[in-house]
Amino acid sequence: MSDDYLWDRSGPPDPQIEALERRLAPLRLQRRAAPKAAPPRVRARAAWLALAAALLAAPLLLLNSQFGRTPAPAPQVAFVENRFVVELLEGSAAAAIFAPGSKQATETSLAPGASQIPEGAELVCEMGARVRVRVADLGDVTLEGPAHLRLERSSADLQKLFLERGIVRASISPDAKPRLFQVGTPVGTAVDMGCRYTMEVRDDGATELRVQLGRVHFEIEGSPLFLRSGASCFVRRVATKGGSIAAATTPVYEDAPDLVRKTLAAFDFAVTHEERASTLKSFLTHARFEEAVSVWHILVREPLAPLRSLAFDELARLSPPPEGVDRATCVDGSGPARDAQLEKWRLDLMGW
Amino acid sequence: MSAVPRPDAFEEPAAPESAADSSFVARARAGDSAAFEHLYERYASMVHAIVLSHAPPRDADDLTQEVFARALAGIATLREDGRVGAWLASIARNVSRESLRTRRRMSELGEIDPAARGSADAIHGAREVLEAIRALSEAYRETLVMRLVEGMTGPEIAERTGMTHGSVRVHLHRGMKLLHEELERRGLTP
Repeated sequence: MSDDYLWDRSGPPDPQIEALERRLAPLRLQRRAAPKAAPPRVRARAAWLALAAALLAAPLLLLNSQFGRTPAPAPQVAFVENRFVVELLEGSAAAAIFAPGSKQATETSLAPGASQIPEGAELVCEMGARVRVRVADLGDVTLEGPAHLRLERSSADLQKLFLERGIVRASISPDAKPRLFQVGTPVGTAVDMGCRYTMEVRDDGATELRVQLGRVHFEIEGSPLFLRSGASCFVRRVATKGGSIAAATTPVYEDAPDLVRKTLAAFDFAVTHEERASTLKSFLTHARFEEAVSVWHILVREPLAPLRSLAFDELARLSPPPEGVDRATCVDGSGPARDAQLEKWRLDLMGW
Repeated sequence: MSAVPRPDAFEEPAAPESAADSSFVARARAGDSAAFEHLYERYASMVHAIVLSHAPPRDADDLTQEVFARALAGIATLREDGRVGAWLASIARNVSRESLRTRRRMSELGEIDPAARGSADAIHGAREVLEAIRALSEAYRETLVMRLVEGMTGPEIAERTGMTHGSVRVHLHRGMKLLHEELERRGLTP
């Protein structure tokens, strides 16, 4: 074998290498144009169209009982800048729309294709109903009843919804600027990084997030969880001496082997230190490369140093720490230095 | 008496990525599409090789585009402009793994459009060799695909990936030896 030809194609061609090159040629990259940044999003100056004429009795009653406001006799017509448009409606749903600076709401039924919903409006979807709302040119969200969704903010730099209860399925373009689209719940905020995901908020505010495509940051009381395609987590509020905190399960892939999911769930819900230690050891025994991100979350969030130490060792085995990331800082350190090292490791693991 | 140097002290220093990369990254971050196109031209083969080392071959071109789309969206988060190659490689590996997770199976290379890639026989032959390469460990796999599929030279591989010349030489030389053994084992010796 000619080392020179293998190294830089200098020297006489090596027949064996040439034969391999020829054979593999069909797989070579066929270059395309480089991706381009999305053009600045057009702020559609939404002319408020007349909302649907027919008012459905059931949603209005529901809204009346829920918000205690008087239904308007006729749909309101207004001109505002907003970008939430109802695209599909199945079953019975209605919106409570607040006039600017007023606590008085106008309640109206929805009509697909015609109803544009302003910032601050609240959507109520009855049992069995489904409403799909287009969010600017970012994508859409589908609300499945019984559900209650507030359209909190619609601006060029933030499109934010708040899901009080029910199920919302979000499908956001991968071209969307990261963090532009967010859905809050009583326990945290899902920050879109270009993806498709489902959130379900139960009556007590507990939230399940499942990512079907792309990536999501789920920000909970200042601390993010990082989920990518196929991963899920569950967040609930738990009582403490001083009030309550939001407690999250460790993100894990939904198609992970049963043993992985069961041992991780046992760790997440363990109460005593002994239980936590034994369940963590059990989980780490079964963790595969795919669980590296789960182990990273444990290393970041675990309050007990001996358990952080176990998590560090396993994570280092699954995916060695990048240069500049050391055991002492990750396990026993604190503050910005530790945060920076853990973030460096996460970026090395996840790439975003 | 001087200390005995460690083996890696004999290696040539890490090949520095072009200093110009930093400038192109800064310009791309500021919205200069020509600068991003330059980075694409420079790194597309490396990214494609990494994707091809892990993901279904049929998807390799699309996933390469996905890597650069993510890079464009996230270029503001790149902390060391001079390490753009390593950063793109990391994105490429993650995109490939995500793709595998989604598909849960390797797609058949035969699904590639023969009109775009050559005859069905040629595609079949390429698949056989690629499968042998993919049977090797990751370190050899990526380097061999860069050299044998994408046609990059050793110095180019070192420059794009940030590996030392010595490491690339070892990966190529040792990787070729292992590949021959693997091809022989499969009855595919060229």
